Amino acid sequence: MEQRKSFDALTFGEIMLRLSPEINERIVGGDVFKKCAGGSELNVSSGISLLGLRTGIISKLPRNEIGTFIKNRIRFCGVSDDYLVYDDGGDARLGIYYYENGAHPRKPCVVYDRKNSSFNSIRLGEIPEEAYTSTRLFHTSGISLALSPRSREVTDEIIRRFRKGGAKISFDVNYRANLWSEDEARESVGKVLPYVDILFVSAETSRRMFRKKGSLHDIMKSYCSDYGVRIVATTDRRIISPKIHTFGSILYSAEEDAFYEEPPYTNIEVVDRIGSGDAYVAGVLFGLLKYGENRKALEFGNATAAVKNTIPGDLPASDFREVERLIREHQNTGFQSEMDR
Amino acid sequence: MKTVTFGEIMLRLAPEGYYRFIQAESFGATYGGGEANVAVSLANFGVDSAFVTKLPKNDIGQAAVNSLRRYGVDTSKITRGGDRIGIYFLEKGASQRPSKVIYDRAGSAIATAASSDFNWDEIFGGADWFHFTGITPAISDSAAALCLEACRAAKKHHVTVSCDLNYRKNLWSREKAGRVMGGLMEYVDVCISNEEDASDVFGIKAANTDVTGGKISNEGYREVAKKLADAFHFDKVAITLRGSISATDNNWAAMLYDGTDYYLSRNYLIHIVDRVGGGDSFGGGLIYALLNGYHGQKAIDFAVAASCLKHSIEGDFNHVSVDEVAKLAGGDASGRVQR
Repeated sequence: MEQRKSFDALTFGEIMLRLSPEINERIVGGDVFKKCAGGSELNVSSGISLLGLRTGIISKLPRNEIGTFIKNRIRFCGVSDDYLVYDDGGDARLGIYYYENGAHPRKPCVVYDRKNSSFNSIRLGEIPEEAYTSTRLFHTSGISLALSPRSREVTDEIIRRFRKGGAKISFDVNYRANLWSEDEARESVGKVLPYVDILFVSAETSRRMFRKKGSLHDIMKSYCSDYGVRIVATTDRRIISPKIHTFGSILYSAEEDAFYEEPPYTNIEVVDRIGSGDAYVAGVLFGLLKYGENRKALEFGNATAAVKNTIPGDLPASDFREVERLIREHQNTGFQSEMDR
Repeated sequence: MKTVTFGEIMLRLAPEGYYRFIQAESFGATYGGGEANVAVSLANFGVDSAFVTKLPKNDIGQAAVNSLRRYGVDTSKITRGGDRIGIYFLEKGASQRPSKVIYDRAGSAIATAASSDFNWDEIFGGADWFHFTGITPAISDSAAALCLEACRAAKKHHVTVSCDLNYRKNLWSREKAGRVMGGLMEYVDVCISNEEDASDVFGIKAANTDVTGGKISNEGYREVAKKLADAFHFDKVAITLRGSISATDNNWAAMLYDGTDYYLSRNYLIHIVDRVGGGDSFGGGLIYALLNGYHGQKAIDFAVAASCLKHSIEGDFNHVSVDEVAKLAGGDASGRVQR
């Protein structure tokens, strides 16, 4: 039979409704909340799709209009809804989080309300077998492992099945202290790492959750020697204030035993930092999928992440043309035009 | 005069105007819930009105407290803790398109609250009136137990108790509602029902009535009021009579039975701005009227006028003064600009 659906990347994870007061307003005083779809893995799928590759997401939504709103946002981003499943239960719900932007010296603030969401009831039987052979790359994050025992079990198995189906496996550790303890995370993430080809992990998580010691380079290499990971990427975000960040990253290729770095993006005017880590993942994966080059992966990752900080909402909104121009300008030390015309 | 209401207050998320859920890019955020709405009504009438609940110790819980405090409701007996606030999404209907509500209230702070969260003797000290609705015992078994505790404490403190039956089919079955509510009714002095609750909860039906057809028989409801009063020895029974012509236009009236006489209000044809909280504003009006010793006809006229005005106001709460209600109840329904 002809295989009609084929993806460059499929992701798996919870999609939430993000409710945010207007910029600079507080949650406690908010009379109006802007509705956004958000979730680490959706942000990644959406970012890769915007850059021009074909992506989808596997997730579970409540079968009501709130779920439909999210489905429509997913489609709006050009992400396939083929593998979305729906929860008909009486307690079906979408996880929610409230997000308030910061302005120095007030920090950004998040209130989560994601317990018992429909995503946590997803079963392997709800994911069609053909999904596992339909994509070049599969991505998920530690959040999917952390949400509930059920989601952990399913995530674990899905990773194995995609690997068996021939997909490259990408994993963002994305450690969330409010979801699980460092001990639980270390054990659970440790079990999936042998299946992972491309690993995203922050320096802080490596040192605290994984209790790794030594130089950052040595730490990054250790994931390859210990678990057989092929590429490790670690971002370096410097927070000058809630509205001014510097962003760069290091990417290590085990195959070449080489580290890739470039000067960081400085003085980023932060409008909304949520999802910029996911945008980085999207950029890196795009670079690898499109060009198969580590240098390109690093450049696209850094540029996509830097520009996401300037965009409200969880989802990236930069297409290939914009990101490519950003990379060019980042590398150009001469004249810079002030407006894009 | 001091009143206490006990129940759940939820975050209400509603698209602006008449946008549908799937269209809107933002939600207006307000707070409401049966007993909280009654508390705000009473505070707006100048009554010392306290609302008792449990709310999470986060910014959304605080926003809910603030939404009550700003109208003068006493929030000092609200316990803070638990996981989450209940949410309901409201899409406003118009004409032939009905309004739509999606609840997301499972596991809320009040649904999981325990007896130790409330000091009923302190809450009811010096109180004159206690009001709850059938929603509170429906939220969870523990909430039903709290409701019973509250009723017992209220009686111990010689507080008058009113209950709006308020049947919610998505929270419990008719059988369970009948059983649990039946156990609470012995503490209730004033029972409030709408045109469907008595039938849903206690199987007491009105003759010659078709609610969805907009046909209401006043005669039939006299019988319902009497049957309710006889079964549970209520002091008074009030029944609101909503005749739905469409999502936008309703007939609105009510009846009060005091064990001897029946008092029927006039009928208002209302053009709806926001009907959520309509029944609660009736409760608020009735409690105010009875607390102030209004006799039968004056009491039901005041309560219906108060709730009639609520239908013209956005949000769950009824923001009207005693003067405004009295003016309408007195016969001025012209809607002419007041200067």
